[in-house]
Amino acid sequence: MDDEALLSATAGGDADAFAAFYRRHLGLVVGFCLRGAGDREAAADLTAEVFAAALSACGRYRAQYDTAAPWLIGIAHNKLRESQRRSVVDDGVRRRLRMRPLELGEDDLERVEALASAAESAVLAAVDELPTAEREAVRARIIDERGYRELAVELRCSESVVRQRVSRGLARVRARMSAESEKGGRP
Amino acid sequence: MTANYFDALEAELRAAVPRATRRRFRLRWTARRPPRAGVLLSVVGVAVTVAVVIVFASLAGHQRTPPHRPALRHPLPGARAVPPPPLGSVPTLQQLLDNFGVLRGAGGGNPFSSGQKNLTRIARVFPGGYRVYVYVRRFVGARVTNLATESYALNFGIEDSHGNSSAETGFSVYPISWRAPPGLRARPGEKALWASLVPDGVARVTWTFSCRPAPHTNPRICAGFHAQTVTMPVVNNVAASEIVGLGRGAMPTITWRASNGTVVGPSFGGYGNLAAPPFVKGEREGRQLRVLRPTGIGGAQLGQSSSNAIQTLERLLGPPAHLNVRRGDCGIDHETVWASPATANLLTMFQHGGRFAGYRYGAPGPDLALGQGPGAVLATSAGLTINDTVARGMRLYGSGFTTSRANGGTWRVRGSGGPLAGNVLPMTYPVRGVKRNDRIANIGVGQVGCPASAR
Repeated sequence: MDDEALLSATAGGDADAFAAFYRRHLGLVVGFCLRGAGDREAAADLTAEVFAAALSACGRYRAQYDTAAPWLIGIAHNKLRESQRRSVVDDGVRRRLRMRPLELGEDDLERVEALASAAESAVLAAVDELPTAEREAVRARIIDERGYRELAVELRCSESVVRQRVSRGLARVRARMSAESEKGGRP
Repeated sequence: MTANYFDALEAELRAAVPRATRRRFRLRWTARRPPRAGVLLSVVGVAVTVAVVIVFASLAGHQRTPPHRPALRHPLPGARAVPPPPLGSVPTLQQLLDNFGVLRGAGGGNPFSSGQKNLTRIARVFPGGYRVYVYVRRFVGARVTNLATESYALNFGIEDSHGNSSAETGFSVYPISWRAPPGLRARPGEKALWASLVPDGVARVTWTFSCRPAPHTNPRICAGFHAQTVTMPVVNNVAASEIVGLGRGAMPTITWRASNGTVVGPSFGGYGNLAAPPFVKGEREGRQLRVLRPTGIGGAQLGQSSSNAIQTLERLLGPPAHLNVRRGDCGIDHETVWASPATANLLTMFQHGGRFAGYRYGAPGPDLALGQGPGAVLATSAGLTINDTVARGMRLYGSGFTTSRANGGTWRVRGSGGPLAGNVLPMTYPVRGVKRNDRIANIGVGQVGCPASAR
């Protein structure tokens, strides 16, 4: 069952569908939140708010791709930015949905890292499988955060070529992640 | 404690599905004019690309500034909200005694010459022969440009079994490492002792060190040190642990927990600050006097004779804690200091050639902080005072309020009477520019760090 079907079923009141969606993307969201917040407790708190927001908005989801991961990351990005601006993790959606506050134990904190690590490995594995030129360009631009001009000089090509390689590389990673996501299962 | 947070979250989400789907988003959506497909497609396409870039950027986050850590908001049962810590002041001796139980215990030897003789404690002894000392330093008229008169600093040092001691470290919530001197340097992979100071009320400390990959290498390969998390109990206000394989530059994120497991701090990322957690004793409130001006303090004008200026300030604030202390740096020859209970924070009046040459309200630099004491809170005419955020300064002064990375972070307001300036207390580490939620550490006239020399 793809993400669109799961979210559509959720909008119809199917709790099992949202549970499957949650398990499919938990690692991705935890990893994103942990990297953004830099704090395991905050990452766990943010993750809960992100999924609550996704649940609230599931009826508005319109699939453009095979996976809802970009949509979910978009929500996570907004929540993270908001929490950084306010210096607190908002819990408004959870309150609206009358969800109970949850406690975090040491084991949970370790699990945050384990989930994030698994998700990170999946993305990095996808990058590793790119063709050499695209892999170098994606790594240099996205991971090492180097400028296009600098890369063009180093790779002895024009800036537009570097941009193209990065763009194509990201598209391949996206496709790979979509396929992985399609397989589903608990991360 | 719940056995598994994420399973519990799944159960909560399941239970919330009926409540969430009762909202009929679909009806609201269709009631509006649907967006054109082409527009929607392009917007989603851009969003997807941005999202993927964000994922990658976040994966590369090892090399970037750790973002400000948001405090927990969704309240855990029994946890209390974490208000902004009272920053921007140096501690009084009483505050140190109130907040660090180790100082209230029996004394010990003093291997650190600068420590107060009766305020040095052996806080921890480790099997490898390491001893961790906690000691108080006091500065009165010392030729230390970055420490104010009447500053009390809580320091700690580490000594090994051979008597080799660490350099004075200042006080920091960030742990410092102790490694053997060059002749006895620890081999790679050998343990080193890390320690940090923690106030009363903290029972356990967790340090989370992130992997530091080398530039342009596989980010999964940690060049400097490996990611690891260390949790340790606090004994005698010291959290310490022997850790393998960390370089000196390792800077962890830190979590303080009370004995009941709740997170009590630090809710900030203050660099080099022993900033006060919410439970630190000390008053913050007091009458606010908007007397800090570019031309002087209240009725005391820069350029006026020192004795007249001091008399004026005595009428305003009461008697100073230290009168005409000799100094010899920054073009200052004397200074007079008001401290709590006259003023909530230190007010240092600088004198040169018998004239009122400058002043500074608050901690001397960006690296000293603890709770304020009772007394008047001094502020600028617009209402800016220490511990205010940079964002508030911008609101009060608009474009006239500027910041700079100089001297570890500074702010400045240029008005008709001249400039007001000071240090900024960074809230995140590493410091890469002044941010809106950074705090005003001090307020003074003239060049930051050397107030009298510019006038």
